[in-house]
Amino acid sequence: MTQNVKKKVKELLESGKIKGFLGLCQKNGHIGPHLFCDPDDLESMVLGDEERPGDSRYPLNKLLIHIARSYPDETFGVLVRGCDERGLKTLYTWNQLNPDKVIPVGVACPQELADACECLRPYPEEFVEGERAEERSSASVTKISGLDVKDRFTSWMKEFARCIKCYGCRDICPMCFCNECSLEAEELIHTGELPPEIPIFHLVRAVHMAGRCIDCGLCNEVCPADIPLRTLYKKVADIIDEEFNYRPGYSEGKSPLNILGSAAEE
Amino acid sequence: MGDCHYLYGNVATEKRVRFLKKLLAFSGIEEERLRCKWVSSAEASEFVEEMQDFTETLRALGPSPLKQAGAQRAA
Amino acid sequence: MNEKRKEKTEQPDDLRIGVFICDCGSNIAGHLDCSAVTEYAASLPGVVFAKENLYTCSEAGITEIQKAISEHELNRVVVASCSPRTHQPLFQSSCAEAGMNPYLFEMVNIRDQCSWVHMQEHAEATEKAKELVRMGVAKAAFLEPQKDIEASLLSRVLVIGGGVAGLSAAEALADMALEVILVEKEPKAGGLLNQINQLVPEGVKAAEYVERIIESVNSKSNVTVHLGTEVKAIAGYIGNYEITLQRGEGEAIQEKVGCIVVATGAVPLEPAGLYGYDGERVITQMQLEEQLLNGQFKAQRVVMIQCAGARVPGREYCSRICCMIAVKNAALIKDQDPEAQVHILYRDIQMYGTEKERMLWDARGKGVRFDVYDPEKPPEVKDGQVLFEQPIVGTKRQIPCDLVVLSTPLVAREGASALSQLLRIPMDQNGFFLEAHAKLRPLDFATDGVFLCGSARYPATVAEARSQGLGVASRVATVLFKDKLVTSALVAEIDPETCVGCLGCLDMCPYGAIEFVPEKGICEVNTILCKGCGCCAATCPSQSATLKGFKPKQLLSQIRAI
Repeated sequence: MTQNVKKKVKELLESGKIKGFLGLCQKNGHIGPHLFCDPDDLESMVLGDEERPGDSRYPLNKLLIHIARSYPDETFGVLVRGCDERGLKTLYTWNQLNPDKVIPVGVACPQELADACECLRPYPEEFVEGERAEERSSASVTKISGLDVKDRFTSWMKEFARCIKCYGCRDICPMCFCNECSLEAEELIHTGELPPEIPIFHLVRAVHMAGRCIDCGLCNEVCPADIPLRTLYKKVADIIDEEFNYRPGYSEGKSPLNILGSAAEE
Repeated sequence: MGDCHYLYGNVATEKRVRFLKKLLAFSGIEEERLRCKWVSSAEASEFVEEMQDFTETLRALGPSPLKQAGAQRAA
Repeated sequence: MNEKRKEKTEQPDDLRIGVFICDCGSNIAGHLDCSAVTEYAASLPGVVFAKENLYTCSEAGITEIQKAISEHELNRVVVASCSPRTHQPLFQSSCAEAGMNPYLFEMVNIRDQCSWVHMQEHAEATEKAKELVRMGVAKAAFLEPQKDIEASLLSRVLVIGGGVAGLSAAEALADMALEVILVEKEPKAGGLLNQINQLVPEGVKAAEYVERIIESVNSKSNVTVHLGTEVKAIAGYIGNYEITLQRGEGEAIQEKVGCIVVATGAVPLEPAGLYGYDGERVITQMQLEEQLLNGQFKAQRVVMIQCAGARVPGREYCSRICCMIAVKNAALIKDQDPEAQVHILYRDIQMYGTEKERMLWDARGKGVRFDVYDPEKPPEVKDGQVLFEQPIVGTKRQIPCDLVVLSTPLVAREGASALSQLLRIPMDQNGFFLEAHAKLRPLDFATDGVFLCGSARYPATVAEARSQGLGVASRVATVLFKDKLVTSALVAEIDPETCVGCLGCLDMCPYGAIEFVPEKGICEVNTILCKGCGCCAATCPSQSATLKGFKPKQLLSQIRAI
């Protein structure tokens, strides 16, 4: 399954178009991010669909921000799924990556992963590996929207109450590029409590995801308390789409909340 | 709209309020608890009416679910 | 962690707050218990002195504040009285005189926001006043001393546009001994007046009128006139603009000015495709003016159609001056030849002002015919006749004529949007420049240092353009007649340590006051351009952008004191 990606990366490295390729490698039975710089040393490269599709995903574009900051003049390749590509596009609009210095190499997600993600577009615009899976709508959002307002509140409070405030959702989020985080701003959120001040903690994060979240779902995967954060942020993206006809990573340009004056409307 | 002393301040606010109302609703907090209305300094009676109406709305909704949740947690 | 919590709840050390509760005569004390509020204020944390005054803004009141600052070593002052809009500057400067940093002053409005709105509820109003004071004191605790921002000012002005508005501005500015650079795109100054016949109600020749002003401007040694020249680039901000002018293909001219006046005017709409416009038998008022001016006007039977291309979908505004022009020219035709037939078809006549209303009466007296038409059924020009329907009686009429004159509106110049981008000044939906406030600041832009006059703002008569030009000169003088520019320190700041250069603040700044610095990878605030609106602070995802005097800590301590 990795042959086409390897071939493409080899070409890019040999031609000197990229300084390195940020992908995944398998070492000692473990899969992790790796910057491939030698065109003849791509043996260990994997795509992260080992036992189950998408079981080893990493916020590669978030790592790329750090690499790019250290090597601002170099161009890097990066492995992208549909969501990662949306992430790249959004990071370009936030001035965190330079589109001229990034060459994405795409893979399409298998249907099983697209289903699990309820992904609106489980493939990048161009991909060298995999087949285009069918898009899925967000049944999880519809389910919660169908509840009575009181039940919605109770259900979210129950979910949020399990939070152990590990900041995993934020730390893995490719869209969380800030140095200083509002979730740790003592003026906004009471510190030193477990669970963290609910629902304020999670709603503050949800607000920050408006116009940013590209629905990669890593937050949900990493959460040790299984809080359905992805569902919350899917709704956030839906609202921005309904109100302003904008969906990060899918639409062109900047978030409507970052545009002066009235934004394009439905 | 657009008459803000700071040019686009109220437009930015309006966008955020539109988003927040729906986020609150999805989180189980009645969106009627958030209200945004433009009242100029020359529209005293509109301001009074709006505040009275909002007070009535809040009274009808009862205490905020957040308050109740807070009380439960404290107990 | 514990230390953090401590910091959050505890006020800064060695806090010495003085609170002054104003009776405002009976305005406040008549409706709530000021003594009780004062007593309460004295009990608040950090408050070392509290005093009730009959009038805090009176000399006696101010003296008390100043005395208390020195006697009680106050390092914060809170005045609970009326509106900060009217009295904050007085209290702040009084505190500064007594040696306290004026930014450590906080004002609470217990009159407009309390005693006046709760006149019948003495007990409740008293309680609310206590809460308001508590909030003010809570915020005051976290106030930080600031230094006013100062910048230099160049006493030179760029006037863009050499029509009557720009000329008038240049003339008046020069008379105030300011150095003026006047830029006119055309090879000749004077603007639209060069094409106009004569002015009403005085009846002076337009060319003579404008020539007088041009001569006056040219005679002044402190005015440099650049004809056939355009503004190519503008950098900088109030007090220190760097401008680049370009004359034709010639070399670029660099100038430095402190303020800029936009007087670029407007142009009459070319009514292509309207009412059979051909420039010969169907012409515009502007063309009629030229015929009258050159003595080429010959027609015996004239029909004028008002609102040609105005107040229609896509161009909804009223151009204001076309009715007056039509009435002026109609009367002139009748003066030349009392036998001539002149008919004006209109939707509404707008002859604002007493002089113009008189013109209308006079024109009627001279035999000019006026008829209303229905915009749903506009007149038709056909075979030397104008057909129209009288809306009230519903009869169809045919007016034979030799000449049809279309009263077309003034429209914004095509170059307006380029200038708007160059200067970062807003335009309305019709392409006219948008003033800071239609009533309160009609000649200012929201951007400091840039001003506006004449038809670039909205169609104006000659008299209006002239008075706006003179007015704008005074507005410029209010800025440039100071030694230096002093602005409030309450502006945004961006923490260079935490900013990641996401441009969120930059995109949301209405004043173009934020710049991305690529070498540092962060955004920075231009404190002269910043107006302290706080859009950046609200947008910044990492609280790197904050607004001085309204930092989260200051605001939230105030809110949490409720």
